[in-house]
Amino acid sequence: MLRNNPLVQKLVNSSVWKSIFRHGWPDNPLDRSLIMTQNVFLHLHSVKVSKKSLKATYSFGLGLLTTFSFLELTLTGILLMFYYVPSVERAFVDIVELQTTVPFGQLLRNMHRWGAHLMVIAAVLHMVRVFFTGAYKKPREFNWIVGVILLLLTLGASFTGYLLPWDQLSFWAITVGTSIAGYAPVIGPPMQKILLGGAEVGQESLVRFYALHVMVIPTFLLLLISIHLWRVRKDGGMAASEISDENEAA
Amino acid sequence: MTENQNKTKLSRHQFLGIAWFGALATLVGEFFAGLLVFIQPNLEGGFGGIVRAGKVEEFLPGSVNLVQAGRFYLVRNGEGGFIAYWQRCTHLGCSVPYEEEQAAFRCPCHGSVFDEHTGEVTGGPAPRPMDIFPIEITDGEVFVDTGNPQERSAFSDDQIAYG
Repeated sequence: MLRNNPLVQKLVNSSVWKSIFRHGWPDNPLDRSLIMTQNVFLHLHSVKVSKKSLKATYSFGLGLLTTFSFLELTLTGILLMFYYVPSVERAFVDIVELQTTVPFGQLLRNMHRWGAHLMVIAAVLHMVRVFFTGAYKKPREFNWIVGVILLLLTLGASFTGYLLPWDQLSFWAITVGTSIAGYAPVIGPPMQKILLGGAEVGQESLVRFYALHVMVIPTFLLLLISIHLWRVRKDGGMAASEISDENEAA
Repeated sequence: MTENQNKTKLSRHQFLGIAWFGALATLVGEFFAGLLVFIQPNLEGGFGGIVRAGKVEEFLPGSVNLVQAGRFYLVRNGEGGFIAYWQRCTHLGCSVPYEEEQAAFRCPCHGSVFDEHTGEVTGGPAPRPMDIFPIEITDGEVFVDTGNPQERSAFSDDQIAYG
């Protein structure tokens, strides 16, 4: 079929192709495995998965949904950065202009907003699913902790993004939100001051939240998501097969 | 020579390992200490500094005056004394508007109410009276130090400044 096509033959036999892909055509178990293990992106995933764990109603694909909403948010977020300036004079005007004069700007902003809501909801439901299927138990305790940090980072990304439109809702939401942070014992007041960059929500707060939102939090999210997916494989794939085996034996 | 070496509990290998680890830990520690200093906000000037509210005679006895630049209410009582309330609700930080007919400050966010004359809580979830700023009156002009908000548990007469 595809493999017999002379153009494809020429391509996969070229020295450039062979320098990138060090495995042969995937028509045998070894080369199929090598596709996964020799690719930096795909190696996060298992070479083989249990048939039971593929049942849609076991995981509801919530982890994947969270991951893909992160990728969607990264893409739309980068595009939004081309038009948004984090200054108190420009931020709100830029958002209005983006929605009214930039082609697809309205669509882009709404994708980013609804994608953010989806990511938070999917992450929480994913956590609920992992809890109720007992998938946090040994040997997956470490990955549960990574997941909890990921949830906090997701909420942090959501919170810092809330201020950026610089409208009344943003302003007072962050005023109240950072005041709640100020109630934490000992670390509360200094944390509030560092977050705001001053005594109240202002230009310094906007720049700080922007830097956290577009750079700091996404970097840690990307790093931890990679570890999280890789650990799923290292901890023996999804917990589905083991648990249903126990049930059948009992 | 060999005797000396035997007496040393720490091998050269171990010593270098500890030295490397120590240097690395110091470097990381310095980085985070520096980061903590770096992200401390600079509060000098403008709001957060000393704000000139105006001349004493501009404020009638018994009046409530919002000074927007300093985010405070300058309240002058019947005897001519001044008190400056930070406009910020002590519950969760919303700006508190003044409501003349009730002679009180009422927060729109969660309904905290503060008395006009003392700044004390008369209703709602606020945990303490409105914070006040120190007032300095020199040459008939009122200066308010907004960089130094004072938390208080109750009103007392020494919080009133006289010119």
